[in-house]
Amino acid sequence: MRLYFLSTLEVNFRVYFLFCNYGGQKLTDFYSKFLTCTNTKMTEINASVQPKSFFAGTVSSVEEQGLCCFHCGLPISGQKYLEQEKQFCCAGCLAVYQLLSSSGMQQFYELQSMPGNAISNEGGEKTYAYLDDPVLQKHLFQFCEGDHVVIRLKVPSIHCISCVWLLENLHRLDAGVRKATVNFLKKEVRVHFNISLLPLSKLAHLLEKIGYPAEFKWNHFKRTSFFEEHSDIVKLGVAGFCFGNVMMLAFPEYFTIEVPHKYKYFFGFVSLLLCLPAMFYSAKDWFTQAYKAIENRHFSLDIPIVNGLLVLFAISCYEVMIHHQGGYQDTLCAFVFFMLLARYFQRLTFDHLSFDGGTLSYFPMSVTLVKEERSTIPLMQIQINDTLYLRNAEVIPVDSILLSDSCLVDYSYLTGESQEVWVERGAMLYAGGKVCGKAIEIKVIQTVKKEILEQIWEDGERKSHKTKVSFADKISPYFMIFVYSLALIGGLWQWYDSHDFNMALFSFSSVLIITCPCALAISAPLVHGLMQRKLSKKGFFLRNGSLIENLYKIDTIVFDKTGTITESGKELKSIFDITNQEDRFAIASLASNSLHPISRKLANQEQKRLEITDYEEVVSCGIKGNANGKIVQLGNKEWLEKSGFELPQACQQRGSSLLVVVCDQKVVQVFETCDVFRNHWQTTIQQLRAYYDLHVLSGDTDQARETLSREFLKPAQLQFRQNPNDKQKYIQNLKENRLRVMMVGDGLNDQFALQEADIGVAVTEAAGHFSPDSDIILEAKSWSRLNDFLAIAKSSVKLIHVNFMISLIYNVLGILVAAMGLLTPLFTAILMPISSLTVVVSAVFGSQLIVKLRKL
Amino acid sequence: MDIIILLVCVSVSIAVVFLVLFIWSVKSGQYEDCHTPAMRILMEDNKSETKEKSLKGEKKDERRKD
Repeated sequence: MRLYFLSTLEVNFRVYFLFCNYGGQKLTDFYSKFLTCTNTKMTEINASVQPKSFFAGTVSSVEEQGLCCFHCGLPISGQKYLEQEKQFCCAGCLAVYQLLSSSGMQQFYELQSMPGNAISNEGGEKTYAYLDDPVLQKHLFQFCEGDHVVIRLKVPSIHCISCVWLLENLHRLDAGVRKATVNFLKKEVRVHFNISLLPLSKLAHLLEKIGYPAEFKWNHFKRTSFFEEHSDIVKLGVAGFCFGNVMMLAFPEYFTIEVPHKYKYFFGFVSLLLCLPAMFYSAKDWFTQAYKAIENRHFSLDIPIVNGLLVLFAISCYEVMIHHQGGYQDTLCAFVFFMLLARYFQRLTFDHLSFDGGTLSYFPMSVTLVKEERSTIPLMQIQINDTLYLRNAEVIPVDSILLSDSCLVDYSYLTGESQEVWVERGAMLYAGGKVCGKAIEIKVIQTVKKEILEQIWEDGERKSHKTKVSFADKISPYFMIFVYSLALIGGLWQWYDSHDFNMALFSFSSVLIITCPCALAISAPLVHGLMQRKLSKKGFFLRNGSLIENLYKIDTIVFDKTGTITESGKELKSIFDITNQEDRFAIASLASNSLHPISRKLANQEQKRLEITDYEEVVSCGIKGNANGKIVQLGNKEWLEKSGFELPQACQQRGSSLLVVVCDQKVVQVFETCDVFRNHWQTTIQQLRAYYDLHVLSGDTDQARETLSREFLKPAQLQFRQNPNDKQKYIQNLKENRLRVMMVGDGLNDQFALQEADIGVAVTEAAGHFSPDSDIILEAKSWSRLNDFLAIAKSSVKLIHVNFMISLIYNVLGILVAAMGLLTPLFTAILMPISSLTVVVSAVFGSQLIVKLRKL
Repeated sequence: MDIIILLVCVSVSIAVVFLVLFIWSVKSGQYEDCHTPAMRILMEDNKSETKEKSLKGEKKDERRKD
């Protein structure tokens, strides 16, 4: 019976951990999905996880006409590729189909219809030769012994069950692969392969060939050891094991069963032994943190916690060894277990988000070196006087001199200006610029900056300079003083009253036991974790839960303009138009061939499609094609001006963000791409204005000054033409004036400011997209709810205060009992869990109420 | 009653076995990814390679109807 109970207890714990992992709702979610899926075998699972592509809408309408690619599901326009009665949109998709069908891997298409990824030929085939460099490989491999290598690759294009199937059957495509395991949420593949049969570069090629190119960026390859990743759950398991078994042994005391003295001693001794792992392994972190806090001479909640643990342990030892009594082992273990549980709950990580996006993912892993012939080398092997070859959209890795004629460089990373700059031959190019247009050659005059390299090699988490003092930390010193003086008074009073030293000591220790700040240690992380989960569902992702307390203190909000208050390049405004109906059909048909967002917009303007031949796409310039004998060309101003077309007078003075359409050698239409303000931005600003001091920093010119000043009221707080360093200084100034600043920005140009501010919020168009280093990631669609999010954070902190009051009431109750010397282990074993439970219940319901009140 | 001492020892050692199994399961990565295994279960085992395409087409249609 007893054995059975114990084993079920362990099993229950295991199930419970699984449950923790999923986070309650997710589990039920999963089950309902699972049930529907097994019936139909279709995988709606994925539709909800990630929409397949942004043309989902168009796909379904075209699907009925049977005009989609069998592989990737994109509508087929222009040339068709046929194979075994199946249609493909491009040679790439066809090739994947042929490869898979020849290896007998048809199941890929059966698990889900049209599962493939479009094979993009943008920029030609990438060269992965640099990946075979042994120095670089040392940093990429997770494990390497002889030929057997394990690597974890980030594959962003994983989106459905078929992807998982295909990648896990990679060994059927190449004998060099031993095993591949996919982590769907992280979009990672762990590949075990034989490096002598299949070099890393070949593996990368293989993945690209089947439409799953791996991303090779520095920050994906930072290694974390097993114990960093999993120690939490192991600690929790150990604490649970101790707790369960110690409780078993305490049963006689709970039910006041009279047991012979020798058994009592035995039980006490065994449970004391069982306490040791909970105390010295599971609770290790609190000990080290408390030690650090004492060393740095500041006070944190860890100190009273450790104090409570030590007192409990010492008294238990004393009771068991000297008095041969039961002791407080069960309370101690329960305490450790619940605290770990709360902490585990708080340590929620968002697998698909990267808060450390910044610089690391911006700089390339390899560069093309020109020496007699072109070869790719790893970034850190660049030497002074090397000649490098940079293609369109590649980042200039080091300061260098331009050898080619002239080129456009986008310095938005450094300056925040969204406008490209012309650089002439022989001029300086600064590291961090992005090449626009045709490929260039540069001569290196400086080696890779040390800071960048340091960041690349540095392991573990980025050190944060931001101090975080939570409410619990702040009150803990007063708490300690209060408790000790109370215990002392109680002890002295007992001594005075009864002249019994033992009794006085007992009363003193009892007060210390009962005031263990256990509820306090549980309540704050629990509320943090709950809120973090709730907010993340609405697109407000906190890096960690304790940021809630920082949000509470914010009094100043600084916004970036472009991309934050406005959406960039979202609107096309026609400023010159002499097209006829036929022209418009031709333009829309041509645009439908391109995947560029602006082209998609143009394509949607007309429904009728003409056949396009001689289609040509010049990357980052424009597109060109022949529609029923009409030659149509559309692209940016620079490209068309270079091709010898002259813009109409009216458009000459406009900025550079113009889109020009040429039909039969004549400019027929000019569009201006302009920024639009986000939906409901005015209401959001008005709401925020009531509580916060608002500032705007913009890298652009002051075109929008009037519109903004109407809402922001204080014109002095609108700053234009700010470069990243200006922004950082501005925030520094605000902080020096003792303001608590939250910075809301979007691009790399806000990076420094985001780091400088007390809280950095990065706005991204969709979760999982690139975002700079930040504390919080905010999805653009939830932007207008910013005020609600902040209000929720405020209420959450108040909830923590309420919980603190609750646990204080219990403590006062306990202290009264303890000071009278009436405390028994049984009383503690009941009071402690009850107080924790009340706090947990109030945290759960309180946070639900807060969210409901805000209608989130 | 002395048997209880033996029983306690046995029960605790069995619990230790479970604890070791639990730690082993964590180490072997069972808690690393809780989503993908749920998808893997939906994949069928390897079928014979030669299967008529018409059959597949029908199957697909059936699924759609479902």
